[in-house]
Amino acid sequence: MNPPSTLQGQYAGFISRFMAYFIDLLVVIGMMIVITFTIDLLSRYFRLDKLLLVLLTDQDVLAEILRFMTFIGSVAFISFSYFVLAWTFTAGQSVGKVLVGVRIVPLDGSKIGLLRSIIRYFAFLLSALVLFLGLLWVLVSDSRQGWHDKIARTCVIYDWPAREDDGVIGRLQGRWHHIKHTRRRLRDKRTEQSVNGSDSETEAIPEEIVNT
Amino acid sequence: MSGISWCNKPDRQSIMSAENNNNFETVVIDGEVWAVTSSAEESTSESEAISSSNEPEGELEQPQQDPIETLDPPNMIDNAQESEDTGSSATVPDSTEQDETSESEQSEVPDDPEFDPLRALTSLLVGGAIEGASQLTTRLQIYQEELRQEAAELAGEDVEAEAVDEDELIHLRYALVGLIFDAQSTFRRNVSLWAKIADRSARATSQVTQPVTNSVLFSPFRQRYRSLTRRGEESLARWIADGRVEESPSRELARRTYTELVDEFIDHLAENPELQSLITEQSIGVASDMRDEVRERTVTADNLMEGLVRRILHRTPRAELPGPPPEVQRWAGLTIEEYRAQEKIDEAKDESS
Repeated sequence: MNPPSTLQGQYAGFISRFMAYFIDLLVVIGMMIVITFTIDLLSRYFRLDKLLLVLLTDQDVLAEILRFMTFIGSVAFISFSYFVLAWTFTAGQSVGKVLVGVRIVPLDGSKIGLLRSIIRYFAFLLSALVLFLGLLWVLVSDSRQGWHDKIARTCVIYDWPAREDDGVIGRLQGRWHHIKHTRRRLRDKRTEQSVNGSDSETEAIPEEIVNT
Repeated sequence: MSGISWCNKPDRQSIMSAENNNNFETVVIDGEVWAVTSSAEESTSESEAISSSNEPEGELEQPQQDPIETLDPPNMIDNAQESEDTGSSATVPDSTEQDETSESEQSEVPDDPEFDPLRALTSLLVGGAIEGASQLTTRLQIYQEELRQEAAELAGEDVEAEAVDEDELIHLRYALVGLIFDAQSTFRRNVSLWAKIADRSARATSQVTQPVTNSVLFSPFRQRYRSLTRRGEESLARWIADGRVEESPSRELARRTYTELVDEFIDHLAENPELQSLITEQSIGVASDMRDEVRERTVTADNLMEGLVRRILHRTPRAELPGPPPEVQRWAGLTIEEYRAQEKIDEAKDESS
């Protein structure tokens, strides 16, 4: 099968998706900082800072649990709101996905609705909880889907005319493909010769293949 | 008008109008009126100074302040700060005031019948030369002192490091440099020596020829010589007075010209819409290029990493697998507007079916 001229519309790979998540993580952290600063400012304005100080510095176990729950809850709420709203209302793209150039699309070709976004978000948490196995599944899946994609019946595709670069990585990959192709050709030839029974005419293995 | 400016030989009418606005502090030197800060409290001294501008020429009057101190920008700032403390009104103009000032000055320049372009240009050239030489000398002193300190520190750290391999060519270069410095000091010594010799020989000659030159026969020549000497001394005194008067305004003119030209050039660049659009386009272009570069590298890294993992796990290579179905691929590359439009088309199709 010949590869397409550009990879637009093809399944997006693990590194692109990881980069997009990383950028989104930075955005969520930024949002958390802004929200915390705003809450702090408002509490100072309304003279609630002493009450917050008591709540946050109390050594009681209940207060500890309350603090932990508050932190987790706020992180979950902010990230949930961010991802779900972004996927639903900006055509399956968050900030990171826009920058990296990937898009979430349902497998049936319909639009990604609110319900599917919510399911995908919680499935994403589940995939991450099992030692990130559900996220690493993208590397081995034929359709580059993680567990959350399979649960929500979505996939992630390149949204731009994606192409490989000609830099160091691209050259390395080109070299790798060349070596692989040469090896396969040699193997096929040897198989053919063994079938025909003419072992005398063996082709010399190129030096670069031997070195590898 | 707030701020500091100067004028050259203003007529009485312009001075009086300026004084009515309480914005001049004048300095009278050699019958000429030099300028100028804004000060309402000092109007009495201004009127005194202006009244003295009508005194006959050739009578040098001591300025109220040292002109250099009055017109030097750092001192101006200091004076402004001091005046804020003391409540005086001498201020350094801020940018908006400067704009207003420059606009008003630009509108006033063509109306000034006393403006002499050649004199102003001469003043600018002389001031630029003096100011430039002064600034250069100051910087050279600073650099030399820094270099001396660095050399002293280095010499204290590693004396042995100086014993490097020096070939003939390096010695020749050192010799040439040393020759230049030696020639310069020798020239200076010789100049002073020749000046002393000339002075002593002139004294000796005058002592020898004194009986002849003091005789009656030489009286017409002597009178002419004395009158020539007197004229020369007068010229010299006039030149000194002129130089004293001209130096500080010339330096201030050069300084202001340089500063304002640079400011205007920067303002022009900042306000130029073509330049702004060029910078914007360039910035967007650079950002787009960077984004595309990052995207391309991530795509390559996607394939490389997946190829390795799939090879380790003995799975089918990515290139041999089918892509997503066409109904998935059709969403790729759509803007949000196009995406919404496609959604509406799909909804309409669903309803009709």
